Order: sequence, then C-alpha cells, then structure tokens
Amino acid sequence: MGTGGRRVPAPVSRLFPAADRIVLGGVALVVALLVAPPLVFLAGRSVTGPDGPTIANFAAAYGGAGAFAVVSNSLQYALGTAAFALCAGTALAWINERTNAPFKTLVFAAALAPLAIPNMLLAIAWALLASPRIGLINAALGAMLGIEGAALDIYSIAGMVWVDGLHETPFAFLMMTAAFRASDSALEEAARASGASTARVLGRITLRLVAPALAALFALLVVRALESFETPALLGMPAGLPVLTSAIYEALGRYPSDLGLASAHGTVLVAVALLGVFAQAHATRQPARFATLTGRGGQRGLVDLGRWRGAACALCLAYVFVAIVLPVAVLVWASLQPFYAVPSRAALERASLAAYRAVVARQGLGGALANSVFLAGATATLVMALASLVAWISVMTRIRGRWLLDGIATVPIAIPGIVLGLAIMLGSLAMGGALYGTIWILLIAYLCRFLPHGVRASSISMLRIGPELVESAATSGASWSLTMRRVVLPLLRPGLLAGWLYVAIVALRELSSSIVLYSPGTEVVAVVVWDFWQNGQMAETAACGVMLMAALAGLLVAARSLGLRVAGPI
Amino acid sequence: MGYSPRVESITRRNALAVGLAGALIASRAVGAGAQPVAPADLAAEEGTARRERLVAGARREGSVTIYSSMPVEDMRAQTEAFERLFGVGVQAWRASGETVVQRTVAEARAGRFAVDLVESTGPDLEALRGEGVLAPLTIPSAGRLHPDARPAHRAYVGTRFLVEALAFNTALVARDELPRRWEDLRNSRWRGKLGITNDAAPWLAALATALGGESGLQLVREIFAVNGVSVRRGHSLLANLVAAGEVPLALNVYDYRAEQLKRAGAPVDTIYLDPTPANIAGIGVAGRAAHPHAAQLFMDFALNEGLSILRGRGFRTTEGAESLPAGIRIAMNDNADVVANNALWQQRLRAVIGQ
Repeated sequence: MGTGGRRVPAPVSRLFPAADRIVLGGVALVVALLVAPPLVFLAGRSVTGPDGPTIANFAAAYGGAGAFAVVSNSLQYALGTAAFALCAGTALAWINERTNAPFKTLVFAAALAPLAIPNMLLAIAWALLASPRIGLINAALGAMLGIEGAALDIYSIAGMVWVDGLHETPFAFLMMTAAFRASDSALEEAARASGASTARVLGRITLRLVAPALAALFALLVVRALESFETPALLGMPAGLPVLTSAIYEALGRYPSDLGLASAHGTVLVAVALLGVFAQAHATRQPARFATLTGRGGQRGLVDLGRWRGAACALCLAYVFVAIVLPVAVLVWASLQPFYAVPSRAALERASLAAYRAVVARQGLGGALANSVFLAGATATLVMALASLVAWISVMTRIRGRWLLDGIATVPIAIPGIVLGLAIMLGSLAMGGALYGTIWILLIAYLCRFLPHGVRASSISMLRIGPELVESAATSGASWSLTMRRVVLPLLRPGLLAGWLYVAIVALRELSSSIVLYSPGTEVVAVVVWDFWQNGQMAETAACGVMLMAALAGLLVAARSLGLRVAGPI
Repeated sequence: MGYSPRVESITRRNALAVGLAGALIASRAVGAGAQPVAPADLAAEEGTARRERLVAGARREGSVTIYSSMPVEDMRAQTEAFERLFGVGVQAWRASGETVVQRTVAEARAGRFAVDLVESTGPDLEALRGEGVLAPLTIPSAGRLHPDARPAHRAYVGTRFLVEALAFNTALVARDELPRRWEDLRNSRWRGKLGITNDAAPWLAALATALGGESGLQLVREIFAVNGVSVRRGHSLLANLVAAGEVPLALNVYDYRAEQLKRAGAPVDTIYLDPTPANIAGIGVAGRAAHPHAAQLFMDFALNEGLSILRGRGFRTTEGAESLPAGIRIAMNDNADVVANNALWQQRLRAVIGQ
C-alpha cells in the first residue's frame, strides 16, 4: 500500500495542524537555543581578526605554507577513512540486518564495542601493533614469513585511515542498520522471485534504496575525519604528515589561542555537513517511497546467503579480530606492565594488576563515575526525545524549510569539540556566569554535540513509517500526542534504543568539551582517563580502556537479557 | 606508573610537616582576633606572626581554589597536607596548561574571580601575568629559592625545574655511541632514531638562543635535515616511547619522568648536553582572589612544606644548590620571550622539523 504509491504525506500535517505548529515552534526553538549560539560564535570568530573583520583566518587555514600538501594529506585521510568506515559499517549492517548469517548478537556487540576505547588509546594500541620498529604484527609476520624489515607501517596515511576507519565503523554500522531497516524488503523479495541473484539484488535494489543514507553518511564521515585530531597527531605527526587540524590545534594550544583559525575550519566543515544533509533531504523528499512499516501486514524476509553464509561469518569474525581482539589484547598487555615492553619472559615476570588497583583507588573516581553516568543517561534520553521530534517534522510534515531544521540539528557534528566547549564557556561567562561551573553546562554541551547523532538515527528510522498509519490514527480521532505515543514511538523503539545506546556510549567518552567545562566536583570519567594519560601512566590509561570495554560489553549483554531489542529484525 | 617508590619519603616528610603545623596551630589563638588584611599588607610581615595572621584569615575565608596543570596525584599530595595542617579546604581543578590559561583569562575578562591560585609552567604563568591576572607579591620565604625561580616582577614563583634531558633506550643505544656535544647529533648514525615533542617551541627557543641564535637554529636544522625526527605528542608519551623502544633517543624528555621509568625498571637513562634547556613551573596568586589570605597561606605553604613534598615525589625543586644537574650549563627559558614570540618560535619549530 505505501510502497509503490505516489502519495505524499500532505494530509498528515493537515490532520493535526495546531499540534504541528506548537511542536514545530517548540522544537525549532529548543534546537535553535542549543545550536545557534555555538554556530554564531563559530561563524563570527571565523571572520574576525584582532583588527576587525577579515578573511585572514580562511587564508591561514587553507593557504599557508605547504598548504597543498596539508590539504592533500587531509583529503586522502578523510576520504579514505570515510570510505573504509562506510564499506565496513555497511557490510556489517547488511549482514546483521538482512541476512541469515550466524552470530548476529556477537556482531552487534562487536560492532559497538570499539566505541568504549578512547580514540588516543586505540591509536596507541595500533602503534604498538604495527610500528615498523616494535610492532607486534610486524614481528610476528617477520618470524612466520621470514620478511626482511617491517611489513606494515602504521605511521602513514594508510595507517591513519585504518585506525580511524575502525574507530568510525560503529557509527556507520548504526546508521546503516537503521537505513536497512528503513528500506523495503518486499522489493528485494520480488526481484529474487523474478530470478535475480543475491549480488544483483544487493547492487540493483538494496543499495539503491539506501543510496541517500549512504551519501549523507559519507559526507558526515568525511566531516568527522576532517575534524579529528587524535589519530593524525599520534600517527601522522611522527611521519611528518601534517593535516589541517594539526595547525588548528597548535593555534588553539598557544597563547593567545587563535580561535579564528579553528573557527574558519569549523565553518567550512559545517558547510560540508549541511550539503550532505541537504542531499539526503532532497533524495528522500518523497518519504512514502521509503516507507516499509505500512498498513500492510507480513514479515520481512532475510536473504538466504546459502554457501556464502560461511564467508559472511568469516568476514564478521575477521572484523571482530582486528577491531577488538588485537587492540584489546595489546591494551590488556600494556595495562599489566609497569612500562610498556614488547612481550618477553622478563616482561611477563613484571606483569601485575597494580594499574587496576591504582585506577580503582583513584580519589574522586566514584564522583566522576556518577557524573558520567548521569550525563550519559540524561544526554541520551533528551537527545533521542528531541531528535525524534525533529525527525517527525522533517520526515512526516511538508512544512517548507523543514530540511533546514534537520540540517541545523545535524551541523554541530562539524564543530570541533574543543571549540564547542570554549564557545559554551565564553557564552556562559558573557551571560553573567549562568550555569557556569555546574554539571548543567556539561549537559548543554553534550546535548549540542550529540543531537546530530540522534537526529540522523531518528530520521532514518522515521522514514520507514508509512503515512497511512498516522492518518488512520488521526481519522480514528486520536490526538497528535496520542498518535505519537501509541503509534509512532512504539514503531521507532528499536531505532531509538540503538540511538540511545550509541549516544550514551559516546557521551560517556566525551573529552574535548568536558576538559574545558568541568569544574571541581563535576569531573567526568573521560577526564580521569585523560589525566592518567597526560601523566604518562600508560598502564593505568590502558586499564581504564579495558575496564570501559568490559563495562560496555556487560551493559550490552544485560540489555539483551533484559529483552531490550536494540538490534535484529523487529 | 611508578609512584610507589616515592610514597615512603612523602609519609616521612608529611609527619615532619604535621608536627611543624601542630606548633603553628597551637599558637593560632594569638592572631584569631586579627582584622582582615588586604594581601599586599601582609607582604612585609615575616615569620610566625605572618603565618598566624594568614591562618586566621584563611579559616575565616574557609577554602581556597587552585587551577593547576600538575598531575592530580602530585597536587593532591600537597592539598591534602595543606588541609590537614590548616583545616582549610582546597578546591583543585586540573587541566592542561593551555586550558588553565584559557579558563583563567576567560573568567577574569568576564569579571568572575573564582580562582585564587594558579599552578602551571613558566610560559603559562607568564601569559597570565601579561593578562594582569596575577598579583605581584613579596613572599618572604621565596628569598632562599634559586634566582631563576624568582622573576623580578614577583607575579609568580618557581617551585620546580623542568629539565629537558636527552633520554635513550639502553637496549638500543650503546653508551659509547652517545653524543657528547649537540654537534654530534649531526652524525648519520642517528638517522630515524630521534624523537621530540610537538610542543618543543620553548625548548628550541632556549637551546637555539644559548647556542648563539641563528647559528644554534642552523645546527638544529642540520641535525633534523640529516637524521629526520619523529614528532610525538607530549612529554609523557615521548618518555614512554623511549622505554618501549619505539624512540631510541629522545631530545627533550623531562628528566624526572625518565627517572621514574628507570626506577620502575625500564631500559631508560638520560644524558645532559651543554647547554641543557630547562624551565620553571610554579605558582602565582590571583590579584582578585576571593580568598586572599588562604591564597597567600597556600603560597607560603607551597614554598615551604610543599617543596619538601615535591622533592619527596621526585621533582627537582627550586630550593637549594643541588636542584639542577651539576656541571652542566642550563639554558633557562626566557618566558617573556617565549610568550611574546610564541607564533614565531612555533613557526621556526615547524621549519626545522620539516612540517
């Protein structure tokens, strides 16, 4: 009913006009209050110099000495990372969502687990694995294959792409999981019934249906990579591979810090992100085409991989091995050592749990944990509530300019975390110190940072709801809020839960804004980890990473056993 | 890692400090009725009377807030001793040096004076002095500190030296191969083996200036042109990578960190070339401190009991002749130059390392 029709959801917005207007006004206001100040700050700083308005910041960001090499490095790194994460995330999501491959729970947990490892720790783990000098993989390959010299060099663009690609794969996985659920399996089934092979169905139908989501996701992944700092700083800098963020963080780190340069870069990234969102909005402007949860009954079919089932399984296990087993093994080893050393008998004799004891005994850890858990829970809940309303407006209504609301709620993804933190700090101080020094200022920063993730997840999930379900509710006399509570939200539940989980995890890990905004008494876990790192306590930092991963794995298993269906077909 | 060897000495020193404080607190009643005094008025006073008045004032104020870039555990060893001694609570906030500066300046510009004291490295304190955030103070006990720890402007005082030594992995570099002069690093045997931190601009400034300015810069340029250098993020990571064998010879490791690793059994040792760059880290009182007595009391404490605690934790304090490595010319950072010409030195650093 919903899939092939040309019906557009015009009636939906007319059915509850007053409610729509109130909701639109309210949501737009909240989003504007949250996002506009840092965006205005960013745009303002990007064109302001010491002597008034200027374009010098843009010139310095993109036209400095050696600009070509820097821009070239950045583009190779960002495009490579985006392509890697897109392919890996899409493959995992497709296997997990649309096929009868085994070990789906494992794949789901494995696809999310790397989120718990702080970025810097993942980069260091890979340096210890694939450095030409002390890399364990290089040593193993050398011993097994008799290779002269190092087979792998992590200090390269390819190395940076590999590490950051692995780090971004969970984000791509979740977005594409939602997208695959949003596309109609009936078309695939029809194609298969007509004799098309699995590969042909995948190429001609499945991927085409999710093409808008793929395009938007690619743009967001490029923006995230262009904004990222840790991996280029830890793996690019030693090899003399500066990227755009290298100069920007240096400008932020010196005194007086040059926010203009960072803002110019951030402004360009915001434009790229907006373009991606606009492209997706344009491609999905007829939501009925994408609706799969319609008035029609029936089950969604899974692709029978047949003899490829084993290959899909092997692919997933290979991912688990490289994304989790290898780096976690190195982190566990590092956490047991008083100082990092390549495994040997002597090193084994030095192994102890002292680092774990030091982490547990660290004063203030309890308070930091409580703050982090509160912030993660509150952020995830509020973000998903707000995001589902934004998604409702952008997908279910035909209000002019609705894509802009979607876009505005998405662009904070392009604002570097430290710039956002500084913008909120300066904004709060300019307003007489409102909320300054409290946990609420951290919550505001987190909401702003992670609203985009929630909006992307919700929009994709919202696309799958056929307008006729909402229409039926309305014509049966249900109010807008009743329709939302009884029809829309239950249908969105799996997508919202997955989004909630993702936002909670990344909020738990958030450092770059927190480090600027926390005060005595509002320390968070990520700051504790950073402090160990900054202090050169590599074993304690690694121990924190291992414990965070274990806690996350426990949480995922608990969520599953409590019956929370955050993945798998509904 | 590797704090345990220091614990014993801290405990001993703390016992001493507590005993000392007991005597002071016992005589507290004398100054209990004293009127609040503006910080500058206290400068001329010395000895027991000064401390009594500060303790009385600090207790009225109730607490003191300090922003610091010192590792949390090291700062906590001091704040806990302070709290035990004087019964005045300490709110400590820890961040990187640049964040400490950003926050302190932003708050001051907005008319918010939450911070009483700032503890950080020389360039950070110098930046805050330039912003007019720190008050010039005469601290009587500062007189016995190393001259480099007592800038003439009196806006801050150095409590410890950060000496940037060469650190090498003893399993990868033979002692007889080690450079004896900076010029020896031009030898191509060091190709692919050198490491440096990304924030080495002050190091370069001190070294190049001490080596004769342009000729010094030229020498560093030649070393890196011949041998290359791997740039690592931060002093802590660089020291750890030397221990791990990833960086055979690092040019600017804080020697106390190398010492900590060595004590933990890591194959790390240090050498000092002539000249060896160094800087101070120290402490300053905010001019608009909300708790002026408590702030000055902490300052006094930091320059007395605090130095003992730091020494016990393996730092090079600014007290006493033995605080710097003997027989070596130290190229002390000119923090005013580093701050005023920060962008220039950053640019020179990028040029010499080829990025």
